[in-house]
Amino acid sequence: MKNNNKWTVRDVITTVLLTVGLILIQLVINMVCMVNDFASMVLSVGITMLLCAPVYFLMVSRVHKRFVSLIYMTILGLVFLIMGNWYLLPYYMLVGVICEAILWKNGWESKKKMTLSWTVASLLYNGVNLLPLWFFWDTYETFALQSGMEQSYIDSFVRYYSSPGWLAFIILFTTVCGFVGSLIGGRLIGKHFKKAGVL
Amino acid sequence: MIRMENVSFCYVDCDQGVKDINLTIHDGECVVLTGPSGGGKTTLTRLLNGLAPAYYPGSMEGHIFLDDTHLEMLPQYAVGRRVGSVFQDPKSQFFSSELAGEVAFACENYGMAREEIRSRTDAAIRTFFLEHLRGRSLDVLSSGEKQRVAIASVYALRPGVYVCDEPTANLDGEGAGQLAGGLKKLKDEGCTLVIAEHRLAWLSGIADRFLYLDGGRILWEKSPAEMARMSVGERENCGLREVTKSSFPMLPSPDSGAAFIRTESLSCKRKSNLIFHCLSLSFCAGEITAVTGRNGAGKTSLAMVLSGLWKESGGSVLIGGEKLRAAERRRRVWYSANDTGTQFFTNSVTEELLLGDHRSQPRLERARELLKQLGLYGYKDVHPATLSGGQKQRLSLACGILSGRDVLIFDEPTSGLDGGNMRIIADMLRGEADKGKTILVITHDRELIRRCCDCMVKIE
Amino acid sequence: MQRRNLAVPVKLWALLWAILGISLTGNVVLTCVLTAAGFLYLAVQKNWRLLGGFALFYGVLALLLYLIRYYGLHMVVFSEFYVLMFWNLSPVFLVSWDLITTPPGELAAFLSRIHMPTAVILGLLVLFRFFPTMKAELGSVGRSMRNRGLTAPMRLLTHPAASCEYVLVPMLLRCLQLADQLSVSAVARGAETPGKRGSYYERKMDAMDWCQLALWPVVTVLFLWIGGMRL
Repeated sequence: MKNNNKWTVRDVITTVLLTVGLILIQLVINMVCMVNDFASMVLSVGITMLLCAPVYFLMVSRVHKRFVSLIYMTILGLVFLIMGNWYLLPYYMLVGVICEAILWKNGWESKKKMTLSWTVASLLYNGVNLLPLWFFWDTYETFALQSGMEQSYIDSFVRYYSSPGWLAFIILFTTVCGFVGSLIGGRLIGKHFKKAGVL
Repeated sequence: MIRMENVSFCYVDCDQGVKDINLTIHDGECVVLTGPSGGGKTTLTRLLNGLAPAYYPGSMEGHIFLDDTHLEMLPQYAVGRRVGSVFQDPKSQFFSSELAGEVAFACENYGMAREEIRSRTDAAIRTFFLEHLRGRSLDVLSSGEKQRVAIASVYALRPGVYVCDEPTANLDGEGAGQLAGGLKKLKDEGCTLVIAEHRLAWLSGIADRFLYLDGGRILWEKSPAEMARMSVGERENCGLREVTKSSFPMLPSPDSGAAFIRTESLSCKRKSNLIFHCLSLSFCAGEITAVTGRNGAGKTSLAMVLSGLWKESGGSVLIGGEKLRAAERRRRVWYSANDTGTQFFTNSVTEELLLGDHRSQPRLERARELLKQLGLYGYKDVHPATLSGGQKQRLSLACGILSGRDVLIFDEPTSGLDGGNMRIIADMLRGEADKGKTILVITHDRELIRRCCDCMVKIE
Repeated sequence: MQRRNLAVPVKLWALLWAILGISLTGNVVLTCVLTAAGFLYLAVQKNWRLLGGFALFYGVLALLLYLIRYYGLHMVVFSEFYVLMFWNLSPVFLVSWDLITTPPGELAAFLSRIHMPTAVILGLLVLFRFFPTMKAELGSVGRSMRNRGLTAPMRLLTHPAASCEYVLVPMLLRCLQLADQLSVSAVARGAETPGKRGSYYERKMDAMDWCQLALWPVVTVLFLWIGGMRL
């Protein structure tokens, strides 16, 4: 395939379809994890990144052009915008720009660059939990205190994000998940998609 | 008038294509391109509608004229305005979930004024008798209705030429009939039709000329009368399907005394929608039973229930005299869906055959033998996704046979296949039935029924 | 009953003010004012299905919130934090759900009126086609897996990675195939035509649109004024 960066109709449609797939996986995992604090605050991002990695790899290598990650992250941000968390839109666009910077020079050719890009994205992805928490924390705290909850109970809710040990674990866990996901993604690309002749 | 002069085309990523095509198609003529899969029919249609080389890159030589304009000089969208295209699978062509939006799609793309779009869209909907489908979701339409919507969408642009690439590949018998009506109308309006197709019978009365392509070249040309005169042997040599609609074969009902699989007042309900009710049927071992019936009569649902993929909502299924639950039936009955796109899970044809079971030496031996019989041995290491439609159907058949189950159910295994592939499948089925398997084939394919079925069940 | 959709610009306008309202408010519980405006907004559009469904959800939230506030309810699953967050985000959910269930044709018409390139509009249309198409595909992948005995619980437990692969790979391959078929169908029907795209639908602003256009800023400003801002 030629490396001209003009987007064709096919590129647009491929990117949109796979992006919707990615977002769907994320939202489902997020929703399921919400029932439990530990799952939603510690595990959900990691699991998401693990499962999404192959799809991301396929999308980037299939479209074979710049700006795939940025478009993906922007659409993701827009979805959060219409769910009311508008501050996630600029945040994700920023993440998208970082991924683009990593992939700028033919990154879609190299598994290493894609792995790096997705691992960094995994690390930054924790924003999906952290930012709404920061954004709503004041209001929640006021409300909780009014309802007669004890400060210790309230604080225990954010224990995963306030204790350095847990924070380190979360960051490590999501990054490792993203990395492992990338390795799996890279393998699936070779095992299936290259062989199936779609790349 | 369309004129192709010494046209050759070769795709960038593979060595397929067409060579030295010289062809003149007059206005208002209907030309049918036929021949075995991979013979170059599709490529020729792509050259005419400009998708090759604009969308499918490749190198092209020679000239194509459309009323004295050089087709290859025009940008693709300008060609699209004059040459409309209809493709294989209508369900994956739609950009809208409702009728008017879909029919208007092409006009919208060309940036027409709103009044213009409205009048063209409404006229197209009227012409193809789709008025009653307004307000219904396109996803629930039958395949024939979907294909008519697809044609209406092209018709709204009023191109003079229509290019159809295997338009009935995903259609059942009824759908093909509906499509024939639509195309007849276009022809009566003076449009030129170019149709690449395996199934030929539905085209009788529409086609003016048949061209036979193989190996990227036009080998011969015949009029409908000449086609009808071809002997069965000649047709089989060319891998062609029957040319005129033969009568529907009449076969006896299965002998209920010797039934291997039997249903007793079986009924099926999905989401409070009664699909069939009180069916008592029997199917015998060692026989191939054709399951026929109108669209939506519940043939596929019956197959789902028999194979245990759906639970029955009343009645029972007996296999070998034993009443079995759905989960137990799943181990005894194999079901191959019509759509092979989602049936394969591994990354090579061999792996696919051996999936989910122990690999003993005899099994490997059997797999190898099967692949050879089905002409897939040369593809044993390729990814199933790279196979052609006919090859996928054969692989699906092979998986069914190798599963070792006593009852095999196939859902329209030959729709969209050329004569050669159809005959391979028919003969394989015959061979398995002779080994004592109970085989059910849901089909409208008269040739398949005539070639291999022993008895017939009609679902009303 | 037939839905009577407001014009797309009005919907976007409502979404903007709803987001503004919930982001700036200092009194979370009072967001019910905006949610009430949201219910009214659905009612004038005769979007009864969404209204009914959401009213139920909102009722449950209100009950939980009441129990938390006055009876000190502590939940084992689903933290109180999320109850409050959903309560707060409710008006936005209402308005945006209504927006994304607008017939895609009307959204496309709006985008083409503001001179969006055809590629963007195609992207939007494809977005809406994803769900009905892929749902059917997922069903048939599941069926094939069951037919081949790949869904036996023992197998799922002992080969979790392989099982994921069996779902993911066919779905992705099908997705790419769908993308190709859609793009061929679009290109053959003039999707690459330069210039502004036309549209079948046209929506002129009527009295109800103007009312809603005026209503949202008024309600939001009043709400912020009574409830106080957090800044």
